[in-house]
Amino acid sequence: MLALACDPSRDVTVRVALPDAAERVLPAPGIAVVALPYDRDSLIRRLEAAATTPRPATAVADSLFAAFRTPFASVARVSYEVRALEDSARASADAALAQRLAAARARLAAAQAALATARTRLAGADSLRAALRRWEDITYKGWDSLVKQAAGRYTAVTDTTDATGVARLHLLPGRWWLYARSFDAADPNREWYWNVPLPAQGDTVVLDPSSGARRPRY
Amino acid sequence: MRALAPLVAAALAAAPLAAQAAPGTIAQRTKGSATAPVTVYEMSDFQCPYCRRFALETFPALESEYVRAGKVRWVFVNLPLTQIHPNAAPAAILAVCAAQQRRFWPVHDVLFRTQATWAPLKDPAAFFRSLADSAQLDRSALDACMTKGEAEAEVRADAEGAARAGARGTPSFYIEGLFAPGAVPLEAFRQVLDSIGAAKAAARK
Repeated sequence: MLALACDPSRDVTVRVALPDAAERVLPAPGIAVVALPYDRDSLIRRLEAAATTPRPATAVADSLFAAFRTPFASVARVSYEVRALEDSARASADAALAQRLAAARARLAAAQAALATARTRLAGADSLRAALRRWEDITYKGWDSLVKQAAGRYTAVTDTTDATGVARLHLLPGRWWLYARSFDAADPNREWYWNVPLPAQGDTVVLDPSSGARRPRY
Repeated sequence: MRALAPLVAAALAAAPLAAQAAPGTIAQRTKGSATAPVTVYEMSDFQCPYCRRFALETFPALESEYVRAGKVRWVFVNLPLTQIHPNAAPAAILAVCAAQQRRFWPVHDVLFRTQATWAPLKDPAAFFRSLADSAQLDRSALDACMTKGEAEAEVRADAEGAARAGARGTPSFYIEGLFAPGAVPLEAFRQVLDSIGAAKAAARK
């Protein structure tokens, strides 16, 4: 029995869609979506503004990441092509198909070799990553108390997207931000990031490339 | 919902000390025998139409059948939903101030009866003063109460307790360990109260 009541809380449906390696935007299952009662970006900015040392420069890492992106995407693309040709070859003894498969496998081997080289160079970013971790440990030391203060009596609400890329949140009245992150299928050194203020009206929010940001994963 | 019981129970235990410093008005917001076997906590908002319907249509029958019969003790807990009902908090403060003058229930009734009049007002203060006069409240004591902030703090404490207890909407009820959200219909309430009463009576044997 559902009794009638005045209830200011909201049920919010969050649809998450992400590009796959081929840049097709598809529903994303298994993504943790968190409704936070504060704007985490503004808290981060506050802490960073009070940092005692400058943030380590990331330009070198950024260029290494960029150099890695092309061979990585190439391997992903050619791997997909090889798998598709292998599937076709299993169903057919066509000689032309076999030739195409052999050529694709050769290209895959070359792409993998190029990726291995790029991966070796990428190790040059390790020291920057470590320096950044140390800087963050110091700069974000006050994070927990800042969050506690910002959250007040509210607590974060979490759900994970189902097979159709949908998460559901039941939220108390107040200001909320939807926070989520996910790996970037096209680049292991980047991630998708959302910190989206929940609109006052409406019961569905879409987290997709247009509402999120692709950012480096140092 | 468990968190509400000790909170309100503590307030009830303190009620006989009402003449001393900073008393809450929970005793004045309670109806029925202190020895009633069942206690119902009603978490309500004076501007909520479902609370109004419950207060004017369902509660009178429950009061007659259970509260006056000594079977149930009824406790009113303020939960003004200020996000959707801008005049709910001033109404609750008025009711708490009335409770300080032992006139909570007459004001409770008149607030719900006149809800449609004051709910849309931008500033309901003048209307509430006229309600206070019609409920025969002492005007100077009321003015002092409304401005001192104690009543507001009491309303806030009620609402925080209700929220901690899990109430999200109004009306909501806490009945001997059972949390019931929404304007529970009379027949459903009867079934719950009868079954709890029977279980308690059996336990005493």
